[in-house]
Amino acid sequence: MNLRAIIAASDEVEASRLEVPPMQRARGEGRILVKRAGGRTRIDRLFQDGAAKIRVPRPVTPGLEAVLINTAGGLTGGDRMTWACEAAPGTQLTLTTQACEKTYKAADATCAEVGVSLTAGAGASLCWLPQETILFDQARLVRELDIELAADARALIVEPVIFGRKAMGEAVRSGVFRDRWRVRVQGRLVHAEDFSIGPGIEDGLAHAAAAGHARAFATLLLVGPDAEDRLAPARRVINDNGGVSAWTVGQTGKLLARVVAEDGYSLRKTLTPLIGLLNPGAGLPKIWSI
Amino acid sequence: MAMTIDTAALVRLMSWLSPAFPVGGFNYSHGLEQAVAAELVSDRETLKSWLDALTTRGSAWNDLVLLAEAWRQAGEGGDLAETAQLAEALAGSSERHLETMNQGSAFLAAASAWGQGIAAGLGPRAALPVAVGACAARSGLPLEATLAAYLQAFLSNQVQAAQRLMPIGQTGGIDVLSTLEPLIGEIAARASRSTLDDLGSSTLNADIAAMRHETMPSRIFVS
Repeated sequence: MNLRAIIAASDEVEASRLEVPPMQRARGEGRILVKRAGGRTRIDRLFQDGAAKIRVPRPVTPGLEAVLINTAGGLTGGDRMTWACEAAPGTQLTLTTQACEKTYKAADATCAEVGVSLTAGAGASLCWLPQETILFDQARLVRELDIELAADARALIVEPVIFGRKAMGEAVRSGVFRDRWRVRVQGRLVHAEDFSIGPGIEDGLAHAAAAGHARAFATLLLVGPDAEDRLAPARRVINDNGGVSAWTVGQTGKLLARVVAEDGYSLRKTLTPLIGLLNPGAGLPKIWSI
Repeated sequence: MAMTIDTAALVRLMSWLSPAFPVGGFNYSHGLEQAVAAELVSDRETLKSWLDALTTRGSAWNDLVLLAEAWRQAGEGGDLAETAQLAEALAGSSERHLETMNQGSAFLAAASAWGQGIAAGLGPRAALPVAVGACAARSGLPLEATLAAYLQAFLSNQVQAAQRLMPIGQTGGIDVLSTLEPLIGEIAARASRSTLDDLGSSTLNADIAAMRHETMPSRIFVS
């Protein structure tokens, strides 16, 4: 569903909000649409509701960086956040989050849900660079990422995930985490990810075919004409901390990297130079280093 | 509950999923060559465990879910193009993509001996599980038996690869295959009831091994 369809559907959302569920959970919906004006990327439309806030720091480049904020301070079972971001033709949009998204123990079998819809028009560049999602013991999170790109749009998508904070001695024994990505170029599906783990998380991760000793991982996808050219340097950056590959589906070139690490700190040691390599000119959002 | 299958269907599945069927499966290790080099797999116990993970929560499980979806779509006259796109888009590396697309396309070419319309709606290239699922449905082969035969062929091919990569010998290989037999039945039954919502894997290191295989200095397999 593109941004305009979502905006059209928002009246129905308003109507359904009148029926308050018995257990009040956090809801948030944020949308940003950017346009090209005077050789720069500017906000065209901005919508924020519930726990979703979007802040746009004063731009220092021709592109625009938007910071997504969940004012509820984390997620738990039953919470739902949706984000819709659209980069009009010729724009450069980078999206990040103000903080790590912490997902806490769910009270029952109901999962927290995060839905993200990203759209980029002809010649646009879109970067989805949220900070780490941290899952605590018995957290339940289902996330869906839908991406629609024009034929010559460029997109960099990164999702880092940490199971418990090692320095705090937090073990994640059970829970649910599902992460589904669907990436389309001109309507044709060119990349799909379906990560799924649970209910046994500790045992599931510890398997040699899964994460072994690692408790943090990141998936990075670059779609664009320069994907193949980044393969050799990306291999050097990743070294023994994961893998990377580049290939073509249909007419679309893509690069996919998976990085695994003992904890969030060592994950960032690989991610920082890797994002710098895959996002030349802009690099890592400044908020990552605060 | 024991699954029954008529003799004609059994013979067809044995033909299509035999190592002699010209899809070139022996060329592909699905990342196992790298996993052995990295000592993630080193003996019959670690091989069993590795294959169990691929089957229950890895790429082999996803392939079964895709096969089941293609079988239903082909049987109901549905649109196979979406399933074919999804299977291709889910391949996790350059060599995994090559592995499934080359075998699937070779399968479609060979299966046309059973009738030109057998692969209608797919075009000449398709991922292997989609090609097998569609052709099986068009031939009236039962889903659960097709899933079991597909999974057995995959695991058997992995064991063959392991025998070339590490010192487990024929006895060790047979031991692994016989141990995995109950799992094949259980997972085929589960996959026959699956929908695309059941797609999902957590085998990060296996997926990474398939990527790292690309830069192995000397190798005997294409993947």
